[in-house]
Amino acid sequence: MADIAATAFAVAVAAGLGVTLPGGPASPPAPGWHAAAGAMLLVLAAAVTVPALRAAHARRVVARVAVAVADDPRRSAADALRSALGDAALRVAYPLPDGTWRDRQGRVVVLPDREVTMVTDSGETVAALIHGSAVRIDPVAVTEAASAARLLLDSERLEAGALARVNDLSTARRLAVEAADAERADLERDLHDGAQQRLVALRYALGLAGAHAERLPAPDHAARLADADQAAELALASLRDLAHGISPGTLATGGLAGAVRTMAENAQSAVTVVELPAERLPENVERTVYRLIADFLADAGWMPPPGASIAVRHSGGDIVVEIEYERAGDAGIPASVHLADRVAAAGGQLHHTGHGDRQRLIASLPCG
Amino acid sequence: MRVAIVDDHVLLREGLARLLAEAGMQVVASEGNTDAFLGAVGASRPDVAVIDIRLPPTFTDEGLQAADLVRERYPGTAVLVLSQYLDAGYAFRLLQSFPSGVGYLLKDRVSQVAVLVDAVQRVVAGECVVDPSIVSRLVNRTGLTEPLSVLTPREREVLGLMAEGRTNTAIGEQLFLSGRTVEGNVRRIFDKLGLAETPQDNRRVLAVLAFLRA
Repeated sequence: MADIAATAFAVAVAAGLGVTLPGGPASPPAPGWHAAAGAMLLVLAAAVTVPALRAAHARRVVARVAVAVADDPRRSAADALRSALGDAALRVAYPLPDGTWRDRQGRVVVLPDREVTMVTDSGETVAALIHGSAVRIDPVAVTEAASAARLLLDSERLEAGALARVNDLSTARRLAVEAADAERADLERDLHDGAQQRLVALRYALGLAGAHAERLPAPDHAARLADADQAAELALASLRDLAHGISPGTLATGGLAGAVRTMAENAQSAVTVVELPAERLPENVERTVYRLIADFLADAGWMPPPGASIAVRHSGGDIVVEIEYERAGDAGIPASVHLADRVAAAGGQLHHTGHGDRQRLIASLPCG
Repeated sequence: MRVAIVDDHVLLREGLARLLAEAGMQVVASEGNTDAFLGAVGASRPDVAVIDIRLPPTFTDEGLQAADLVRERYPGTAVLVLSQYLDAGYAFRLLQSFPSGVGYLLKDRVSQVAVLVDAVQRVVAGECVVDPSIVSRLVNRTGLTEPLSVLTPREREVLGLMAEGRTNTAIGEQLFLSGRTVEGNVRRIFDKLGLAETPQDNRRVLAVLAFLRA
């Protein structure tokens, strides 16, 4: 959309300029025109020199905008205006209906107090030009340049609006995943500090009572206490599995290398860890990779030998997680939606390929 | 036997202190954070320090750090680390820094007085103690079926007990084997698994755990 608009604009401006620029090939001056015009100019010169120079400057600016856009139709309005106005630091922001200002990519922009020119159309603001602080602003040239770039500014404003919605949705998704992770950590902490500690204390008390009972000539008591202790042990074991599944403490201390190995050691099927980055990665990347593998193992259930092999490696600026696994004949393909969602929330992509029972899950996550 | 305890939950400190007293031990210090605990250990020089792995301020691995500091500063004090979750990685890390006089057990494992006494006596004697459930989980991993299939059932039992940090004498007592038979089993295990040497005492725990985790 931007490209078409830019080209249309370039053609429109170039056609217009052909007749308005003196001496241009589109309007060869008639003979005799020079003398008359020359006299007129001499008379008017004193009165109009300064405004005329300004107008000429503005026209040169307009011409430069046109040429900049024509040279490369994919050029942004900001880029075209930068070269036309000689302001390398110039930025363009677009007002959205939600009251925010956004750049062409839909990212939020905070307008500075000064060095801003509002571009308006019929009283409605369509864009803001944020000038570099080192540049002397020529209001006439800026206005002319902005109106020359109007079509381009309009199409970029629409584009910014669409991209802003996409950005806002991805941000919302990321925040939702982060909030859920934080809740998991809180829940694990609550279980650890609450029910789990109390059950351990109960086992200590039962152990103590059992030791006392053994010394007394009442074997029945000891047996009953042993039963009670066994019940506490089972309750504690199931609570432990639950709490640890909710949020692993090992991830925070040992990073991926330790946590994934432990997870592989505790998995119900054979899990081979082929490669893991030894160094720590950004927290959200570590969490996403860990949960991806944990959710996969939980979904996959039992896998026939040789089970799954897991590799986590750097590739360019990305972290790539590759899980190869053997699918039990009647088992479904794990996965799916919530795995893909989690990866997407971290700005990554998930692919699933497979031949027969040998399946492969590949996730790439931006890292850094 | 003189013992120092650190756990941020007062309920557990008290429960543990009572169990230790029941076992005939003397609790000389009981603290809720690392700094106070290290100070108390320095002042009272107990025979053994019982440390909860999750301590303030971050509740991650402060207990392991405290264990290292105790072993480093007070070689006469053995260390028993207790944890709500079992993690072979933590056990390995603990043994790697100081492969003698250290133990890593599930927190509620020590509710049985006999188990508590056994663990304390072993670490004080300079042995290593690794929670049996870590070992059985590692030994029973599906991925290990293949490499461990070269061992006889008896050799597997011996391997497991070695990984728990048991001495040959203790292994012999538990399996009703003579000292010489245990030695033979240990040698064959190391040969079959391709672990070139048969390191003595505590270092073999590390070797076996490393093999099981590989």
